[in-house]
Amino acid sequence: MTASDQPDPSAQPEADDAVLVEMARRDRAAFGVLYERYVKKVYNYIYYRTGSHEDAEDLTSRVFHRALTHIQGYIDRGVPFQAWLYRIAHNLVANWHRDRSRHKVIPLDEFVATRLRSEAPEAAAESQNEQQRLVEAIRTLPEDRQQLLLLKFVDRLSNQEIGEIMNRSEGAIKSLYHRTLLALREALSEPSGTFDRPAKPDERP
Amino acid sequence: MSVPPIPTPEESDSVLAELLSAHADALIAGRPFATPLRGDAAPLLELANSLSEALVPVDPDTAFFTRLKAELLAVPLPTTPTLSTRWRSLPARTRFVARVGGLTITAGLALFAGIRALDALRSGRREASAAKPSLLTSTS
Repeated sequence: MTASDQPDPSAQPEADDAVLVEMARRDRAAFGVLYERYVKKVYNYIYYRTGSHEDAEDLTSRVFHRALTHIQGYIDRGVPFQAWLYRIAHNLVANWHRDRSRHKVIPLDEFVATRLRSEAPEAAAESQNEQQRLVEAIRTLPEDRQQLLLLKFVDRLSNQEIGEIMNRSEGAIKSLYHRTLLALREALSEPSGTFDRPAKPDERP
Repeated sequence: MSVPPIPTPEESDSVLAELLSAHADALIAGRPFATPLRGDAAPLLELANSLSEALVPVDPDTAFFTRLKAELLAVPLPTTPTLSTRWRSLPARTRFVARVGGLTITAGLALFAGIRALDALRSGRREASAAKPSLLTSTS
């Protein structure tokens, strides 16, 4: 195939991921289309897991550089490109937490405060308190449950997509979501401050 | 839109899980989810509403977005995939079969070479022992 026969990736913003991945092996512009498609989602996922825009930028950059380096060897064996990208992000975030030996997750405080400034002062304060409490409760959940809530509500992925990322069936994701809500309700029912305990990955409610 | 039935306490957890999942899908899609709030589901549906309000996407800095894209597009394309890259890209079953095949061939060759070496050694000894008497007869 000559260069003139190659389709223009920028002209195919709606192209299937698999087609773009194949093109990205020979053409950086195709990778650019994939980047534009997923950068915001990956950034949001990392931002809510790390609690800092600076770290989110650093890790997002690493995710895409790593994906670019390994795209030649990537083959969709039941793990679509999006899921592969999120798994890279998940591993980098896990390393980030391990390196820092801390568990600072889902930093809604600043964001919630900014968003609620536009509301009436009293209503805003009440909403902010409620959301702050919700955030604190989410932080106590095991890592897989936090991941599920972020993928569902921040990145707005379907159960099937979340299942591909977390290597679970759609039914297992629904069940995990149910258990997550139960655990969160339990955490919220406790007096403020008492649910601030470290979360274990496989902990059940 | 059809209204899913509200599970009673005696209904299974899977029904509740299905209901919660459908509710979350509606929240994410911005669709209304009309269901009477009663029973076990009510507090969980309210909690999901709160989560949907609290966990909202943020926008990355535009300068960062543009800079990273330029960086990625500037990375040169690899010339040809290395042998190790091509090996890693093979399916796991193919790699397993190739390993077994490679080991079998190596073991077969080693066995064959060992047998040939032993044969050569034995025939050498036989020739040596056969040559001894003739030497004795020639010297006598």
